[in-house]
Amino acid sequence: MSVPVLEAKLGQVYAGKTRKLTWARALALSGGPFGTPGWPEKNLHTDLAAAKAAGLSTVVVSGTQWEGYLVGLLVEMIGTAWFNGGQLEIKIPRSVKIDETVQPKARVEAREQEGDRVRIALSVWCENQDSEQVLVGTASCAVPAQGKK
Amino acid sequence: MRGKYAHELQSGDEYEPLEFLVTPDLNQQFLYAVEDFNPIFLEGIGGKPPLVHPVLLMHMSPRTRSPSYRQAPGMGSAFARDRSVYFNPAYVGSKLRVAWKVIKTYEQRGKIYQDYVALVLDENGNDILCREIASTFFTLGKVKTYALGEAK
Repeated sequence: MSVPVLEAKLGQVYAGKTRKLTWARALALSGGPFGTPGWPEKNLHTDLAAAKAAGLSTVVVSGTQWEGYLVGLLVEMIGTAWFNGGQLEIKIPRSVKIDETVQPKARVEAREQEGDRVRIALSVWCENQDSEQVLVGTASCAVPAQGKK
Repeated sequence: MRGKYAHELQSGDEYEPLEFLVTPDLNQQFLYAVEDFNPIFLEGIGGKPPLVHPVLLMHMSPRTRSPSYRQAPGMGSAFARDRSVYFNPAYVGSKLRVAWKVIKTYEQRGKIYQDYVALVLDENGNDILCREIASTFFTLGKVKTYALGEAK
């Protein structure tokens, strides 16, 4: 697997695809395994009554959903090396409602040699349809230098 | 730890571990959820089974997945921040185990904060994912929240 980020210039921004957080996708993530009796589970990510019982005005999508978008982007950029030392630190400053859209992004901030590996440091975030950040943080991973073409 | 509400746990306390099997159907359900159909999660590479998508690991690692997690009536909880380290790939078909340990508790501006570590291991004892998660508990209706709740 190639490691595109090894060729990237500092400051280069990678963007994943924009995804719409539909009911179907939210239920797939937060509703429990398909086929479970009573599916989907009722919780504040899947059910309005449960959300209101938790003090919310509406259902909000689990932040795990777009953190998942971001990690998918990091795997595309870094390859399977991500699974052997990838590090991610994030906060979620805003919630996302059903039918809003989110796009993950990552900017290459630094690249340093670590023995036979190259550590890539990134700033990462996800944006909603209004270009507001709904996730913000940093990521890094040491990638085998021989992965460089 | 059974019997206590989650917000009552203190540094050193543990939530009861969870074991679960990652079937192809379960992994593909999460691929659908995040619209990520990278072949490494569907077909695998190098003759190995498909990789478990990180979103499935993340979904199973909040403390609310623990069989012993109990939230007190009238209280809510929310995620604050998260530091994740991936140590090894997990493969579809494997049984994973999640263990949780509280590492710090404190109060700030009317909210109880609880920091904990979630460690995901495979059936061979390999570390897969370690998450340091900071979370809050609050009394419903008293604290404005942006609603990043942790679904039980």
